[in-house]
Amino acid sequence: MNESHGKDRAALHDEFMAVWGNPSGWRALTIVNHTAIGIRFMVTGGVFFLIGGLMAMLMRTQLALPEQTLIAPKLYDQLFTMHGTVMMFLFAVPILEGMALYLVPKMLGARDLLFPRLSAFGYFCYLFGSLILMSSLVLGIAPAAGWFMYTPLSNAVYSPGPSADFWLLGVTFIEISAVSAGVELVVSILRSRTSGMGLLHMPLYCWYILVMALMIVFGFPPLILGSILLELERSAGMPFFDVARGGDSILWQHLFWLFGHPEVYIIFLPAAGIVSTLLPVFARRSIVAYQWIVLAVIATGFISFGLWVHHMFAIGIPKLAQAFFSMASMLIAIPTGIQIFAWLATLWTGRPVYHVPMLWLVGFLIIFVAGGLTGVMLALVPFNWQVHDTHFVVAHMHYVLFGGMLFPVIAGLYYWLPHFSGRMPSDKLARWGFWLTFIGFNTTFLVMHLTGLLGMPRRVYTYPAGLGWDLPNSLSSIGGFITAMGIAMVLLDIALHFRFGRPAGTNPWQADTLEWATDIPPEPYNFISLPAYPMRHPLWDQPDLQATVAEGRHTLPEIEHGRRETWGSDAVTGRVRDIIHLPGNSWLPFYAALALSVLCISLLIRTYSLALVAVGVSLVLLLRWSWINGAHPLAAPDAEVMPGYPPLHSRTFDSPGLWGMVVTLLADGALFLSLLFGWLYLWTVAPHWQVPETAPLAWMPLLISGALLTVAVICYIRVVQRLREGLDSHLRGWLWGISVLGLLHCGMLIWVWADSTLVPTQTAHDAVISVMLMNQLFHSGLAVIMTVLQAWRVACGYVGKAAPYELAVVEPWWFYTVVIFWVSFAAIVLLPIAWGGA
Amino acid sequence: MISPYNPFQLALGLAVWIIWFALMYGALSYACEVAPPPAEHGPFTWINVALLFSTLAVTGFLLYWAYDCWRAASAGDRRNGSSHRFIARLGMGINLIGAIATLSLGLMAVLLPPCL
Repeated sequence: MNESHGKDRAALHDEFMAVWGNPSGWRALTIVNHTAIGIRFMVTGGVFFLIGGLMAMLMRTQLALPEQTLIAPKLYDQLFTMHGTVMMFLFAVPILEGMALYLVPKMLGARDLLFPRLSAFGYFCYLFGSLILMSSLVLGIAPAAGWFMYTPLSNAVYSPGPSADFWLLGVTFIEISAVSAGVELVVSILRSRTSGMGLLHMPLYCWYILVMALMIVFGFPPLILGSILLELERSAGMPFFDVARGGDSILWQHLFWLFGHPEVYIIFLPAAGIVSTLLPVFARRSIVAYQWIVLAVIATGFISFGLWVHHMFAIGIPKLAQAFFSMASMLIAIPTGIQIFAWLATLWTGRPVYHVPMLWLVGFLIIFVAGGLTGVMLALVPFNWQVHDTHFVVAHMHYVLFGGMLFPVIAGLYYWLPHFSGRMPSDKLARWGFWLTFIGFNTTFLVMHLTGLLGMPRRVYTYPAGLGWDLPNSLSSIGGFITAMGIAMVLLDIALHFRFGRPAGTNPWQADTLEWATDIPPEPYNFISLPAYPMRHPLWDQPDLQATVAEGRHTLPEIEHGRRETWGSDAVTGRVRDIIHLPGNSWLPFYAALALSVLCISLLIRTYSLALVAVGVSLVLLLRWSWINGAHPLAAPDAEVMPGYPPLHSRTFDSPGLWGMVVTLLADGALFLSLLFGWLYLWTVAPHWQVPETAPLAWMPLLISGALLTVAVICYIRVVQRLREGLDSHLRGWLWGISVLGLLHCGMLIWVWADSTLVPTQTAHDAVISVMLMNQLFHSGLAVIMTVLQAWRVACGYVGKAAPYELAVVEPWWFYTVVIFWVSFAAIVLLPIAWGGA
Repeated sequence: MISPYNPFQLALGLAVWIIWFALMYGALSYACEVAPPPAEHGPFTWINVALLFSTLAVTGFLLYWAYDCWRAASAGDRRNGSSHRFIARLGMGINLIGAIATLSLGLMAVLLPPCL
């Protein structure tokens, strides 16, 4: 019994479950809680791993002996394309995101992520996008141009039919999910840490996830843009990558690898975060060089964006430019090396115990160091040319991704298994699983380095006998099947442990981080009371934390108000600033993702009228989503908090919504910069770039349109400023006025476009300008819609002096819209004049 | 220069590096497109000189910022002591890594002709 509120543990639990509980049956689709969503991501990702693995086994069966005809060349092309796509987009990123969604709030001492509906929406986008993509395999029309879909192979001439469209639309849909999770994780890590948890106390895993999430925010937009452009080329004939009409197929490679190389580290960093979390627990000491590791993680995140051209060494770029990227590729070994030495030092100075997760960690260290070394070899241009497009590259990639990602993930799976289920795995089965996988993996891929050095190209469905490739291929195939047996053993162990595993107790590994202070398995609310603990190892410092948390002895144990609440804290110091109230279960994320999947399918089958309906329905659903917020009766109609507590976030100007908007705009900005890069790249490099003799757009009306937008933005900034000063007179009128200005700007822009001489199917020049205009109209139109909505909410009493945060959330959108307008204006009107063209 | 205790220090040095790198790569491609110097000049061209100059300038800035952060980390901050020292120390490291990365890439301009 806790004297402070006179309730026992069971009563508190019941009250919290009334607010936080998850429904069952069909209504389980409405769950937004991070624990449930994280598990869904992981389980779905696990299923796709098995599907991707099955495709690998089929390919290894085909290659086991020379001149086999088990699999036809066309199917083989589909298999290697889908194997790569499934493993990268449907397994690796989602399972790591799922793990992060599950763990991060618990490690931070929070009750949930800050945008729970976004988590659920992201999951359904991932699920539906994956199903759409996988349906192509079932229909026998799967993409077959390789997982990086190089143009011109993937264009409408060389990949006719819908196969490449499945990839472009399906992957873009899945990327919405990835970016959603990225935004969610960044804001949650920065704004929802428990009281007193400064950045310097944050668990290392959360540092890794913070960097990974920011990398997703900046790294995925170039591919999203590339996919949109290629799909526009395939379906509407806009020639961005068609050399004859002023495009350039190399632009696709740049956009793809601007995403693709950071992607490797987006996958590696969370896995390394698992290593940095588990090693100290099993070494039974704190991690060596915490700050050095944080430094290395941040450095890895940045440097990984400077390596993309090392995937393009064979396309013919100047040697000096190759030297830049070669050097940058070697530089990234330094932060990785720092982490490896810190891990070794932790083991060296600790008292390690070799439980099952440690086996996988040791396996990781061996395999990843080997993969890292072949990575440095590949960074050397002459060697890279020598082994380009051979099995050596395939072997290197699997050493880095299988060893660098899957081994730590399985270590983490075993480590947190008791957390998921409350039971322990079988030691014997687990060890069998490890050794079979470790031996099988090295038999497959160590030998494959030799196959590559002997000259065997990748992506060939068979090979003639007598070239020296027979034996290594047979060994690799045998190794592949041994690996499959190992993975099967791990799965069997996991399946059996739910029934036969011994109960885990409260903290079975004697871990130090806060996720072990929840109930095991955890309840939807995570913590009855939120521990204020400015230390790096809360459970080592206070082993009874789980009991005192459950008894409500720490902070924010009140639930009578019926709101889902967690602390909102300062991004640096972790001092509590506000109480963040979170939305409850909802059908909206499911329906919105469903509407978007209808949009995706209608684009695939080119039924554009249905696509327009789907866009309309999605918009209505998303606006309804934003309606249930702030002071809405279903959110937090009254601002009542306990005496001495900080205000609710919706009664402040610095809400998580504002942070979410800013992070979203960072992703949006990365997409816009990629488009700008494409424009400048084509202008400079495309061999048949064509500029019209007269300017395609009337610059004066465009200028007036920009002026209207600028006035609207200045007015909006003024409105928010007045609100900060406590003045909300004529608020609704101001918002309507701004909306009218924005609408006039949009109308003028449409008129300029309609009056232009642009023929977007004729030249890449006109196609890029058209995309810039579309981008501008999208942002300007949405700004108007959001402002109209705000004016309406002011009338309903949901927004005003007492609940001002939503207006502050929309402000950066307006600001961003005006910035991209003038940058676009400079790029499409001023640059050609300066260049001396039209 | 932003304060050494500002959390943007965790990104500043390497953000400057990546922007410099992207601009340098873009400028190199553009220069080679519009005014490629003769290959027989080797690395002794105006393009290499310009690249080297930008390298040294950016490296100098980043080293200065690293020094500034180091001084701040040593001095500490009375109000938010440990948190701010943590930021300043990491900021020093980030700026230093940015400087090393800039210099190691830029020095390639001493060795190779720009457009070959």
